[in-house]
Amino acid sequence: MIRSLFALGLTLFGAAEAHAETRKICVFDPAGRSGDYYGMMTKYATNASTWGVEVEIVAYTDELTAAKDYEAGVCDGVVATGVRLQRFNNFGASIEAIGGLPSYDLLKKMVDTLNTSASASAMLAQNGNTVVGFIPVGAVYLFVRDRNVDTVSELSGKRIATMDYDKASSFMVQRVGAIAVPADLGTIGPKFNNGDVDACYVSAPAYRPFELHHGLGTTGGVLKAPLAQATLQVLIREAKFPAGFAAKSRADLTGRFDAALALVKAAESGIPANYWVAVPEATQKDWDQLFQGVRVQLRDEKKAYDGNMLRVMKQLRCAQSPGRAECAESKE
Amino acid sequence: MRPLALLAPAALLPLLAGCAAKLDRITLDQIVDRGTDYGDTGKVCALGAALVHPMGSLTANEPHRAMTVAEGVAAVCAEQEAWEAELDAARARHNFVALGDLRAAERIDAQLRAERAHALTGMRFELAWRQANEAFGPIGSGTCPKVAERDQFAYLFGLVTGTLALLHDKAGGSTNGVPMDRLSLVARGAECLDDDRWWHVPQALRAAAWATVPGSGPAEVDAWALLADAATKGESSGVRVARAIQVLISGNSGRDDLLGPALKAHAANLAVTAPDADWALLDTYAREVSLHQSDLVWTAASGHRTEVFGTLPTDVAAPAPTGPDLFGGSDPFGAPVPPAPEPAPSQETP
Repeated sequence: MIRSLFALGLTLFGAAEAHAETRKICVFDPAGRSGDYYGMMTKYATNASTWGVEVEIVAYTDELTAAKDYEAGVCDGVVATGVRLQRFNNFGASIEAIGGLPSYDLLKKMVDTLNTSASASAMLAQNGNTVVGFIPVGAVYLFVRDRNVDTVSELSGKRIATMDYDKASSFMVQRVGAIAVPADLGTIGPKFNNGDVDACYVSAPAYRPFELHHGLGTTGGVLKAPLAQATLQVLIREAKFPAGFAAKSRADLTGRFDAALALVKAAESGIPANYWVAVPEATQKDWDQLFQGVRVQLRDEKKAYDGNMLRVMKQLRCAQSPGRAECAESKE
Repeated sequence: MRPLALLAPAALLPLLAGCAAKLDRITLDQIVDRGTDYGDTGKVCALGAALVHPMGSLTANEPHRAMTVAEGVAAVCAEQEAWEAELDAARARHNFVALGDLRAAERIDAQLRAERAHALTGMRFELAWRQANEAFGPIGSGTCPKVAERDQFAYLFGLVTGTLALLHDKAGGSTNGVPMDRLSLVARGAECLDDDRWWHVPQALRAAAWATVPGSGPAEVDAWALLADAATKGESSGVRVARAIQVLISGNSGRDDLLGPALKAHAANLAVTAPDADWALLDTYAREVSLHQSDLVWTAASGHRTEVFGTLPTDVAAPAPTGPDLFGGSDPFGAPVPPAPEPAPSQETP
């Protein structure tokens, strides 16, 4: 009996000693601890506790603070949008490249490819900052106060609310001859609703909380042509996590892709049908041409996009639609 | 015994059949009036859960004011289940290390239980919100409705349920599809009530919405400061609902810097301000909301719930005062032991 108790004691102490170290991941979710993405990360963290490390997640409703805390070492990992994390890892962030992935099917294929490609795995690690998963948060659409403004040329001279930290969008706004009006999550809704800007770009989950129907009114619309695919990305300082963590993490989050996409689609279906503006094929070709030019310039001049990511995106687009004009070119 | 007891008030309802207005009045003027005198949320949630269907079925038009209250208090039963499951998950994380990888299954099970209970809670609060909208018109969508003094509690209660419906639905996996513009509707609806009359809860609801949804409030207003102000002003009334809202929203937003002080303030005020005897139920519920947030903090850090409400696991116990140092800063036990005195020579008796 005494021996049994002693053995049990050893087992318990052994397990306690084997208890993994804790690593903190700061999770941006606008809805905080009650949010869908925080909830998703709660389950992720529980699974991660079996990968040799104890993951503690902390909710942030302010994305900038989450990113800053990651940079300052307060967190060992961070969950934020790709555009916010671009300065840490521009390969992962390039999945949000303008016009790069025009459908959710292609986004999913790209995420799967990133998870299975050994070369991609190496590229997802930059300067010790490794992207270990992607969560789709919705295609980004252009919301316009005048639904007749649906072509590239018609945007010229229009005022567009532009996230001040988003180099790519600022650049594109310049390219179309529009006026970039600096905005952030706290001001983009009021600026659009009050008429301070003619257009803004957000994904569908922002429609209800920002009450964008006020800005759309009876004349506005939402161009049904994705500008980009917004994602939340899980970025970690890989040296602080055990070997093999990244692959397990990506596999776990890939399993949550469809659930996250269902939330996005529910938000899209919450936008009244009369607001959606179908973009004619000819107009879409103009947009595609603009997107391509912007991507190439951002890759070559601003170093904002990673060429490898753009190349694989093009392969995906052309595999799905071989007739696209770009498929006969070799710009990406 | 208990089911029969629950059915007793339901048995009285047929007497009021056919008249929604009568049911509204007896609920608000008598049942609520009496129920709020007692600080027992368990009784009230059981009553609400038992009455909501009989009340809804007895009249051609539903008694919307009464049902706002009944649906809302019924949600509190499910909310307590959700809270317990949340604590189970946190406790498993902290304490079940010896289970190894099996611990993950324990945690996931508790998380799923919490998620389901949150979904149910969200649904009940959502039904209460819808009843309030039936009773008073679309809340927050236009001008303020004319709400008689005796109905203002039901209106306020509807606003609170609207907020809680969203928070619980999100925590429950968004199964009820409560839209994200809810907080802004509540904030505008809260403009229609007098802050002083209702313990600064309307101000707290506005501030909570503005703090949660970026850009939804006036640009010049610091929503977090406004929320703290509502909590402080409200607690002097002995109905500390505004403080609980501050605690809830701070915790939900991950603002630990605000959560700790808010919890301490709530506990400190309980020690100096007696509950309003007419609204003891609300003050008890407010304390339970704050206590749960405190329990989450404690369990994450220590593996068990709050030892003393108002303390945090990070608190460092201050050394007890011992008066002046009688040893001049030196360690009296560190000094060499003085040599034992030579024994005195024994006197031999001749």
